[in-house]
Amino acid sequence: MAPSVSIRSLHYQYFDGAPFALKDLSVHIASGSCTALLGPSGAGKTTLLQILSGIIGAQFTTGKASGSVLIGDDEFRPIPQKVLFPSVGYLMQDASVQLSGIKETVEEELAFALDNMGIDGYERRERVSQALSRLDLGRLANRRPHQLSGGELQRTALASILVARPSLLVLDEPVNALDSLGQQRMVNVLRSLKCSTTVLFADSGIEFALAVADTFLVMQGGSILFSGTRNQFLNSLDSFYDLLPVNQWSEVVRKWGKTTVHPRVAGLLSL
Amino acid sequence: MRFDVGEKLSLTLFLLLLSIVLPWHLNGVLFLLLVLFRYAFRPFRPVSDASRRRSSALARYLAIVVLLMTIVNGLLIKEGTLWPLPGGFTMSSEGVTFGLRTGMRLLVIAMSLLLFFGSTPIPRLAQFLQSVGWPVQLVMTLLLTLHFIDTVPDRVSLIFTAQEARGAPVRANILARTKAFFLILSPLLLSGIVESIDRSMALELRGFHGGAKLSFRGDETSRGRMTMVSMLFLILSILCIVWIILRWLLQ
Amino acid sequence: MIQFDNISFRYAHDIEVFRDLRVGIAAGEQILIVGRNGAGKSTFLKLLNGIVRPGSGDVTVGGLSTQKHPTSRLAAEVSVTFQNPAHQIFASTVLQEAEFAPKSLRRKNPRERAQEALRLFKLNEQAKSHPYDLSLAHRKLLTLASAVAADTPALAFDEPSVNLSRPEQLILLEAFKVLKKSGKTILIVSHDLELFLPICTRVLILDDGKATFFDAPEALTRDQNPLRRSGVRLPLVHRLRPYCGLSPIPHPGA
Repeated sequence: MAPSVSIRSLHYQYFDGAPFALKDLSVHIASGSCTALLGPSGAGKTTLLQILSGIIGAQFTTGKASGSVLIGDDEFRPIPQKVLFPSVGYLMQDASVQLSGIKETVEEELAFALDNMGIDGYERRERVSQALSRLDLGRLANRRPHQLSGGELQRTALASILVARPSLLVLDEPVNALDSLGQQRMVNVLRSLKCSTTVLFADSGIEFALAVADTFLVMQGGSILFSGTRNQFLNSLDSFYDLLPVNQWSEVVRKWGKTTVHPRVAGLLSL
Repeated sequence: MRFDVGEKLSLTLFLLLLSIVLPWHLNGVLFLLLVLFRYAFRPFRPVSDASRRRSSALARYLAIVVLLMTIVNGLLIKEGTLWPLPGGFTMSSEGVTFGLRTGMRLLVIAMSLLLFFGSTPIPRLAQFLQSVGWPVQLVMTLLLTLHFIDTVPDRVSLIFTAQEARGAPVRANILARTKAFFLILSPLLLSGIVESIDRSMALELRGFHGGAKLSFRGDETSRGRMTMVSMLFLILSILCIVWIILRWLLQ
Repeated sequence: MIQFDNISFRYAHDIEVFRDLRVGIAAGEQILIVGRNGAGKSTFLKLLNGIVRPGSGDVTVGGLSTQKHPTSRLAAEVSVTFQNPAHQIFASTVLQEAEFAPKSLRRKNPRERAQEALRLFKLNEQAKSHPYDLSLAHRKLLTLASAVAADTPALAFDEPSVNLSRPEQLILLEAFKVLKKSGKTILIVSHDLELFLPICTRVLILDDGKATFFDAPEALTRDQNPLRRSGVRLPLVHRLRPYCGLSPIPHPGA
C-alpha cells in the first residue's frame, strides 16, 4: 500500500537559465519508511518535496526538468505534471497559509479535502473525527481557524491532510513552530503512521529527525550529500557542521563512541 | 422579518442607485435612516464586534471627509452666490451644494455597503453566489479577496505597532496615521499577493479544482430563489437606472 | 536596567497572563526567556515598550516607566522584534528597512548605522534588493538587523531562530557575540534551548503568571524541576551529555 519512491538523475530549473534548484539527484526511499531530508535553507528540500506532490509540474509551466520519478508503480518522466492528491499529501512550511481561510471551524477545515474528493455522509464524519483525535484537536473542533495558536495551527494543517489518508506523506518543516510538547505529539503521530504510510519530511534541525526517522538524507546546493541510517548519520556529524545544528551532537557522539552506550541513552534515541 | 442574502443584495443595489438619483438633502435623510437600520433591524446588525468597531470608525472618517469636501469645494468654486470670508476667501453656494451632493452620495453608498458586508458573513455570501450559479473558482477568488480585505485592518495595525516600536509615532495624530497608511499600502498588497500565491497552491494541494462545489455549514436557505422582496428591489433598481439615463439624455 | 514591579496583566475577556510578576534585569545581561506556549513570553516583550500596558504595577526600562511614556519614546531604550517578518517589513529596499529605526529615533548618521547593522547580519550585499526578493530566513535576519540599527541599549527578540537554518543561525550567534561585547542588554524569547542556553547569562522561566526560575543556565541542569513543571524540556543533546561525561551545557566556543 505505502509506495516506495525512486528518483533518478533529477535536474530542475525554475526557468530556462535559472540556477539548478536540483542537480542530478538520485535517491531511493523504501516503502513505509520515515525519511528525514535535512539541510540548510536554499538546498532544494522544498523544491524536491513540491515536485513529489505534483504542484510544481502543475503550476510552474516555465520549469525545466530532466530525469525520472517513480512513486509506487507510477513512473513520471521527468516529473508529475499534476497534483497527486490524495495519494500524495503535502504539508506546507507555513501552516497559516495551508488552511483555506474560508472555513468557519476547524472541523469544516478538515472536511475541505473530503469535499473536494466527493466523500460525504458517514465516511466524512468518520474520517474527520479520526483526524481530530489523532492530532488531539477534539476540543478545538468548533474553534475558528484564525483564533488558533501557532502550534494548534500546525496540527490542524496536518490533520487536514491526513483526512485524505495519503499513502505518501510529504512534510515541509512540520515542527518549526512547535514547543517540546507539540514536537512529542508529532513524533507520536509519525510513529503511528509507520508501515502504512511512506513519510518524507524536511527539517533544518536534527532532534526531531533523530527521534523519528529511519533514513537520513542531507542536501546542499540541489544535490544529496549523504544518505544513510541513523547510526551512519550520527557517525558523520562532523562533516555537516556548517549545514546542520550538529556541533553539540558531535561532541556527544564522539564521547559515547568510546564508551558502551548507556541504556538510558539508547532508550532516549530508540537505538 | 428575515432578509436572506439575495434580498439584502438587491436592496443594497437599489440603495446605491438611489443615492445617485436623490438630491443631497434626501440623501442625508437616507443616510440617517440607514444608520438607524443598523441599530434597529436585526438582519442588518454587524456580525461581530470587530465589524461593529470598524463600521463606526469608517463612518467617522467619512463624515470628516464629507465636511472637508464641502468646505474645500466651497472655497475653490467661484460660481453662484458668494459669501465673503475673512482673509479674502469666499464660500460659494454652488461649491457648497456640489460638495454636499457628492459627499452625501458618498455617505449613502458607503453606509449601504457597510450595512451589507457588516451583516453578511463572507461564507454566507459565497454560498448564495454559488447557488445562483456562479462558477466555483470565481466564488473562491471572491472569497479569498474578501477575506484578504478583512485582514487588512489587522495587518495595518501590526505594522503600525512595529513602526512605533522603532521610534516612529505613527499613531500620534490623524495626519501621521494617514501618511503612514499610504506608505505601507503597497508593501501590504505585495505581501498579500505573495501570500495568496501560496494559498492557491495549498488549495490545489488539497484537491480543490474547478469541478467540486464548495460546501457550507448548516442548511441555510440561501437557495437563490427570487423572492418577492428581491424582485421588488430589482424592479426599483431598474427604475432608478431608467431615471438616471433619462435625466442624462434630457440635460 | 529593566524592572518589572508587581505586574498584573490580562487581555480583555481572557484569563490572566501575569499575576504579581517581579523581574529585575541588569544592564549587559543576556536573558533567555522560556515557557510553554501561552505562558506569556510574547506578552512579556510587549510590556517592555508599552505595546501593552500592565493592569497594575510598573515596568521601567532605562529609568522610563511604560505607564507614562508612549511606545515611540520607549523605543529609544529598547528595540523589540516580533516573530513574523511579514508583520514588520514594509520598505522597498533592505537598506531603507534598516534605516527606518535610526531615522525615526533621530540618531546621527542613520545610513551608516543601518549599513553597519546589515554588515553584522551579512545582508550588506543585498542592501538594494527588495525585501521580498530575500529568502524567508534572510527576511528574518533583516528584522533583527533593523532592530540593531536603532542602537538602543536593550534589544528584545521574539523567537529569533525560527525560520533560520544552520548557516543563518551561525550568523545570528556571531552577531550576538558582537552585541554582547558592546555591552547591550539582550532578551531572547525562544523554544530553541540548544542554540541559546550556551550564550545566555540567565534563564527566565515564565509559568502560571509568574517567574518560576531566574538564574544561570547551570542551575537548571542541577535541578530540572522548574523546567519540567513549566512544560519545557531540556534539549535531547543536553540531556545526553552527562551520560557521556560531558558538562550538561557546553560553554560558548566549544
